Amino acid sequence: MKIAAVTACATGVAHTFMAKRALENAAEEQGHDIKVETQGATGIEDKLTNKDLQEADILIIASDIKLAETERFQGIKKVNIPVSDAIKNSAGLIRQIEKKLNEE
Amino acid sequence: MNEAVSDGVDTYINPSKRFKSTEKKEIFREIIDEVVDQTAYKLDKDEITADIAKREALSTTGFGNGLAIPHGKSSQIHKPLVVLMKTDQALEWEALDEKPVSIIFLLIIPKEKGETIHLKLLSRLSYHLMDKDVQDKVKKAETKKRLKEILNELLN
Repeated sequence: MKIAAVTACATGVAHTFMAKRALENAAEEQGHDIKVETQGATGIEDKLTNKDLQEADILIIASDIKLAETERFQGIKKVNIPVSDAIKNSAGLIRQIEKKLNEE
Repeated sequence: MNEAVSDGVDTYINPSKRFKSTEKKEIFREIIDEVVDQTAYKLDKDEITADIAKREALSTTGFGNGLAIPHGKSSQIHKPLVVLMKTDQALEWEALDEKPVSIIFLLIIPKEKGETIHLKLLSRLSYHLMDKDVQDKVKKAETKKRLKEILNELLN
């Protein structure tokens, strides 16, 4: 699978980046490609390009706040979760997504 | 260790903290009290403690495996301060994995949008803290010196 993800939290310093790492670790362990954009206190980093989003099988939005530049995210399958869910169980989440996509 | 980093983010470490209270807000207060007692930082204790508690109330900062990363903003500082405290107490933190906490990384962040470089250092620290190897290293470390080395690596 090709996964695109965006993480964001209230302060934009800690959980945004912990969620990024958790998603990256889980995706890599399960053999998926992933790119995770962060919308934190320092702005948008590792920004998802149109190409990234067009190629992705799924967009995971792990956020507790209103995101910026969301027009990019239209027309793609999305999963919305609180940022803490990504930190807690990215592995389970990605397995679930894969299962769902395979069933379709 | 590189100079840009030691200039970037200050650290305060206590490898064997004994908390009097088991209540989160009191724990924050005890940490801030110690920092103010032991450093030249002049923090408004009420302001920073309230801000950390406010953030904690949004959602737990206990991210699993006995670690927590509470954080708050202070208008009295211009660059971030990372406080690392380890305790042999098992603190109830309503953590994501429901396990008690014994390692606390408390981030004190400038209220005025500090320099980007500093915030980036904090985000890098948070990013690395999800790494099991890093967590194990912190758990094993017993001395202030060793914890300082690890923190410097993470903030690098």
